[in-house]
Amino acid sequence: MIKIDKKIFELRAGERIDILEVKKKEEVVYYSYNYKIQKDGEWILYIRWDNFQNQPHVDKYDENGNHIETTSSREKNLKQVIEVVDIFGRNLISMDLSRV
Amino acid sequence: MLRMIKKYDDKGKNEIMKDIIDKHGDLEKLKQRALRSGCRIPDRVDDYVVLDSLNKGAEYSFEYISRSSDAISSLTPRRIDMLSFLSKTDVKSITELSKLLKRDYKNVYDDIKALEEHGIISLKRHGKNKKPELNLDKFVIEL
Repeated sequence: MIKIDKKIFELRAGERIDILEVKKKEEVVYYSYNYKIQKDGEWILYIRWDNFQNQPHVDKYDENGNHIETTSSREKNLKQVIEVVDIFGRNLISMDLSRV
Repeated sequence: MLRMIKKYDDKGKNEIMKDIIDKHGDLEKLKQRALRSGCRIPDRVDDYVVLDSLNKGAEYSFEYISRSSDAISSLTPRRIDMLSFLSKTDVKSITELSKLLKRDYKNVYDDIKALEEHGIISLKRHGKNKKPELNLDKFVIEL
């Protein structure tokens, strides 16, 4: 059985992670974890981890939603991403993503 | 911690599929577009994965989790009444909702926008109107 879990995790005011996980027999076969910051009432995507086409990577976007860069990444799970966002918060935007 | 959960039945899943197809075209077209643009257009990739999985009979659930005190304080008694009303009544627009609740349009609009900001309500295009829809079946406040 395939399960699609869509979640919004609001960490603190103005910061959230939009989550999409597709599971087969409880194993996550696709994920996207989208770190967003609220600006003027709109939620802007800045950092995204996903494994589309089985290629785990992390993407960075500017405040207008334009894609800036892609860096390869190890497989991530939601717990790891929440930990990273809890530790670095908005500083993630200016960080070297290969180290995240 | 505030948690809200919604599980979609077949009707709900069909609506999600229809929304995606209306937005991007059929599965094959969307697949080609998603492969071409990749994460430059992230919504396209996620919509493709969702549509492909729903086509294969996937279950679908939505969960909203908040550690922010803003989310809990956004649930004023009037907004909780409105959520309860929306869980039992299908309304086509914010205007219709304000009339049924016998409340001022602007106040209802402001409440809808505040709840939409936290992902509790979605506004779906319905002809010329925007139809408010609940994103939850139940909510739980964990202490």
